[in-house]
Amino acid sequence: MTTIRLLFRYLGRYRGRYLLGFFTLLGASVIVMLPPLILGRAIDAIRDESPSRWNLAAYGGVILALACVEGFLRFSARLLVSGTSRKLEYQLRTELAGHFMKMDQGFFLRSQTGDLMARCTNDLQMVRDLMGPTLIDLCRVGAMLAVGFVFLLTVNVRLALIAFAYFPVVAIVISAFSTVVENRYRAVQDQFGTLSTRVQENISGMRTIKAYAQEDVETEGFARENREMMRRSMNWAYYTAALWPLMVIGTGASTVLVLWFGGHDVASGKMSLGQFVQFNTYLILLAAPLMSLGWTVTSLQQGTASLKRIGEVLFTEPTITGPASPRALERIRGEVEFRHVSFSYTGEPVLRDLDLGIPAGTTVAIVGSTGAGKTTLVNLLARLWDPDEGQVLLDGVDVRELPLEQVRGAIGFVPQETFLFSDSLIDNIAYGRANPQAAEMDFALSTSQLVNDLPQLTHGLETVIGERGVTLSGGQKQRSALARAIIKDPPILVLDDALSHVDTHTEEEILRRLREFMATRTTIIVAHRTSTVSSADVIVALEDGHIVETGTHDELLAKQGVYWRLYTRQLLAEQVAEDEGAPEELLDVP
Amino acid sequence: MDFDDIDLEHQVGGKVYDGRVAGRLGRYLRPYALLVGVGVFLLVVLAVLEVVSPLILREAIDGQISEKRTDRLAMLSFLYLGALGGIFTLRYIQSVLMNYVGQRVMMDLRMELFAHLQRMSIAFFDRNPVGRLVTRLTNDISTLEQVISQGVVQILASLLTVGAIMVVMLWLDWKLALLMYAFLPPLIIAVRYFAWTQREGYRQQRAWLARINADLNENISGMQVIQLFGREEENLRRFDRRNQGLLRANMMVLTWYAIFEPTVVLFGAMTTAAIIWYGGGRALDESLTLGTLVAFTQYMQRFYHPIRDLSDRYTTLQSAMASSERIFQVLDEEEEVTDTPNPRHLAEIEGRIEFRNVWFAYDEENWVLQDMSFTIEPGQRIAIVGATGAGKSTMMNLLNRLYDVQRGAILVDGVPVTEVPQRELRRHVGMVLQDPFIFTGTVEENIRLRDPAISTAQVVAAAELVGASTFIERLPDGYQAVLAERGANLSTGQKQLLSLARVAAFDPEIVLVMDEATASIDPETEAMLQRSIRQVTTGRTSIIIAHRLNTVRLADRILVLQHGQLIESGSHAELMARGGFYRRLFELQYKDQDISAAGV
Ligand SMILES: Nc1ncnc2c1ncn2[C@@H]1O[C@H](COP(=O)(O)OP(=O)(O)OP(=O)(O)O)[C@@H](O)[C@H]1O
Ligand SMILES: Nc1ncnc2c1ncn2[C@@H]1O[C@H](COP(=O)(O)OP(=O)(O)OP(=O)(O)O)[C@@H](O)[C@H]1O
Ligand SMILES: [Mg+2]
Repeated sequence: MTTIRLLFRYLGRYRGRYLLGFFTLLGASVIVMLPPLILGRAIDAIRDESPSRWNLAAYGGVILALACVEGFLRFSARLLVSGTSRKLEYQLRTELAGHFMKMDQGFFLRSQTGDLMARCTNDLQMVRDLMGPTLIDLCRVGAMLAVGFVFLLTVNVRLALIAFAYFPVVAIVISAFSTVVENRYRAVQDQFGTLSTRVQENISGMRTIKAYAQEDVETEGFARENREMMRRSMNWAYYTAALWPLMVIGTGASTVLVLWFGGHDVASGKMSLGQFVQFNTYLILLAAPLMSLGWTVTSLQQGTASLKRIGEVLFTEPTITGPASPRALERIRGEVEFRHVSFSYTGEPVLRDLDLGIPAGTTVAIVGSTGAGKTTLVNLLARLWDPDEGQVLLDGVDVRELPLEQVRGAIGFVPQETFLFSDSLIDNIAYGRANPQAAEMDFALSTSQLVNDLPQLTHGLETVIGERGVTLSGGQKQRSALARAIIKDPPILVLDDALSHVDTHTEEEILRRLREFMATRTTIIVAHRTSTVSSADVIVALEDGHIVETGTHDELLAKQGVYWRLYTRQLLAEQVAEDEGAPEELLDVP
Repeated sequence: MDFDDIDLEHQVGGKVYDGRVAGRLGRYLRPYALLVGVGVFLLVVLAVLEVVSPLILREAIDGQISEKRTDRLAMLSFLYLGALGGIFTLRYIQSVLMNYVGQRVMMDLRMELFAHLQRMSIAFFDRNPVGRLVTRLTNDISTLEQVISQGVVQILASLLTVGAIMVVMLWLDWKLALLMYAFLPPLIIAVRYFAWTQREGYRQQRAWLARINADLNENISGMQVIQLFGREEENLRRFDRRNQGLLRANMMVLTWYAIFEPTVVLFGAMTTAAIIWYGGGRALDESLTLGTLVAFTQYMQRFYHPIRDLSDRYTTLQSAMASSERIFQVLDEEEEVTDTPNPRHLAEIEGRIEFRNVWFAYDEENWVLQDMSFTIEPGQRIAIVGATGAGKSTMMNLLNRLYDVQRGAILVDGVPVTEVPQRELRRHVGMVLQDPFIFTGTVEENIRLRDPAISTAQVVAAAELVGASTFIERLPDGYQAVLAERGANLSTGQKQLLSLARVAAFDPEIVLVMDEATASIDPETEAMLQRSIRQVTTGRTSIIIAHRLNTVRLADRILVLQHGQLIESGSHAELMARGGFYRRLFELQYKDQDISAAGV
């Protein structure tokens, strides 16, 4: 149902063009019929009247003129119909991309990049064909059949009914075919998506594959998917290949019926021979559109199968949206509060009834073991996800009541995993801030210590970095992401394990420079290294989905709890050595 | 990436490939020549049948119904039905056959391209956006389907028909026939011209499609960042620009085609007019029979039908050509990191690694490693430290031959790595990459990377060894839990644990390289991990890159890197005693903690 809705939404937009295109095409089909008439007249004339050369030239001229008109009509029809379908393809693609931009993380978690790409390209092409030639063909064939049927009726009602008697059968066969063909084509397109995904993932993970010499295994896996693609395509072909011959049979059968019944009618004098011949001529004229119905139906099925795949994406509503009537805050001070927040991704609770208040302008550090839910917590603040229960408040207002842009705009987020775009370094840094001033750029560069790396990069700030930043070192990537967040000049700064790939010396430098920046902002730091978190105003330890300890570095050390454990682990790495009976000299290092 | 590489891309196509593409594409059909032959044969039989069936009909009308007889009507009807049945069966077989050939060729091509990509060096993937390569392997190959499954046979059949008609016309009346032929050269020129414009349009279309896919890939993968930084509109605008580019290319193809189609119609009309004028004139002179004239006009109609078909196919062929160009272009990319023809094998590795005056740059002049020399003895535990961007990961990429050095050599057990087959080398050198990559699939598959040689027990043992088992067992399906693309349903630390488990499962014989493999793992797990790693690496050469010095100090030897040069090396104690860069680094890291620890 939704598919039809989608189809009509788009067709409706260009009603006029489609109608015009349809009529032009119809006109062209009528004009095509004329030259043979002229030709016949010319030949009759040659036989009976011995016309002058000029007369002959006139016949030729008329034929040429008709061809010009026909050509023009065809030209316009193609531009009108196919041109419009291409415009629709374009619009639908931009709409899909725009829809992706609105979708929530959960959606991307469920879908696969390669498959989404396939829907935006391959499937869309099928839909384009559906909205162009297929649709018009369908109308044209329909119209011709209707007109033809009327003509046949005028000649002989009984015979016309007989000739079209097999029509219900064809209709039933086609509709039975339709679902099968559509399902099978759907399977083909799904496999195409799988194939795309497979390739996309293989190429993205090439370093890993090479590092483990898994090329053969990958190739084998791909071969399997490839064979499956072939199998599904053939399965589809077995059916569609029958469709056209089937129409031949259908038209042939009606000819035989007419021959049989008509023949007997003529023999018994119920019908004149002239009528019979006339009847047959019309029937032959109708055969061509009928047979083309086979192709049209195939293409129709392809189009609908693809349209459904697109509709699936387009009609998935984002679960995270701005409120209907947002109450924008004038200015965000940066007070953050998690109030009784519970959250789970898949039913297994990650955060349980968590409470955490962060006054504006303070720095809070979050520590906790791997998978404790630290990233989840900060993601809730940026509304990448919404809590199942409880509230996340920004300046005392539930983030779900604020405009989405305002919430995200207020946060300078350095995600745990750096994502950079294949653009110049400077564009990557200025990602959230169009046209930053030189001073701001300098500040971001020096705070993130990227200034030191610029000489190493071939074109400095203008260096175009590879996809995901593959041509930068790990630390350079992370620091670019940091610079990107700083230049946004947000009231809230979130650093999710943002210095893990940065060496100690540089980290120290960065933290020193950040201190001033953080003084006026609310900052949330997630980190494992105590060196990163120790100077925070408050340190909270996360365990089992809630906060088990809160306090300053010194207070928590005195408590000898979770934080203390983490701290001693790091400080006293020689503990490890001791267990292993490592050389003595390592133990007396400070 | 900027927009002008589109021109670059298609220039390459334009210059190098013109003309050769078709022949090369044809080569993929060769294994199926027999099937194609059968297809063409069936088509000929079909043509005959299709001529015969109207004859039956005519006989029924002329011989029976006109005579008001029905005695042979039944027989003729059955005959007609029989012919129909034949047409149905043959056409069905023919269609399935050609579909099969089309699918097979696509499958072969896809496999070849995929396998070729597996051999390409990492530098190639640094340069090429993922989306572009995906386009080559999927969309571009799909374009070929139509051409192969319908085009080839149809083209052959149409050519046959046209040829036959030409001969017949010549036989009927050579003067008139020659006049008809006179229209052919301009027609051919026109067709070629249109084909050329279309080829141009299709080339652009392919290039834009690749950029669209690259953009989609990047936007979808980076959606979180896009949303966090409020870039939805700007990115959509950029996408729209590419989309418009595709629309323009599409419209260009379409417009030319829209002009082209009427042109053929016009040519048909011109020949008809010529027949009337010239042939009619001659009929008046009685130098031509009326029958021949009529035959000519009918043949001309039959003649232009396949020609129109042919030119139709010719344009699909153009789109296939444009796609093939792209595909062949990738297939022709040289492998930059190659195996030598006479490789040396490393059956038993001791684990001595030597860097001998290694110079390396990713770009021409920009040396990342400069004259790097050092030797690692078998069984040593080595740690590499240095500022970010110093070249640590690069060193390891070279050891693994993800890139090749420009000058100098890297030797494993005295054998230059360039002389060892890449895959064999990498089997010996286990490596945990800086960014853990997780594939869609189960936890188990991710640890063993679909390698059937590794048993489930080994997978579990490996996970236990690195401490990944704790979280894996808590997952709903344990080792069979399905992970999303890039491990999106795991925390970063968990991903790192998985990639550690991976190297443990592969159990490389000697060398273990860990590039920042524990950066996002909590200290407790890390401490546990350190212990297991120490166990595992006993007797093996291992190299650890780390920024946290507590993981470094237990190494036998520490290499300190700065700006691509080795500035210090020695054990922790030695380096501390020396009082150089390392000591400063170390003190820096523990300064805070010492002060606060004193405060306890
Ligand atoms: N999208 C997701 N779907 C399902 N489960 C998830 C998802 N993201 C995270 N998880 C699970 O939720 C838990 C918390 O993850 P989170 O990323 O918040 O941990 P973390 O504290 O940031 O860990 P780390 O220190 O490793 O970064 C983990 O057990 C993880 O496996
Ligand atoms: N694929 C690449 N193409 C071009 N330049 C690169 C590529 N990879 C790294 N570089 C550059 O080479 C230099 C060294 O990078 P490398 O990754 O070896 O540093 P690193 O010492 O591992 O740093 P980190 O500690 O930050 O991971 C950096 O300046 C980086 O920008
Ligand atoms: Mg995390």
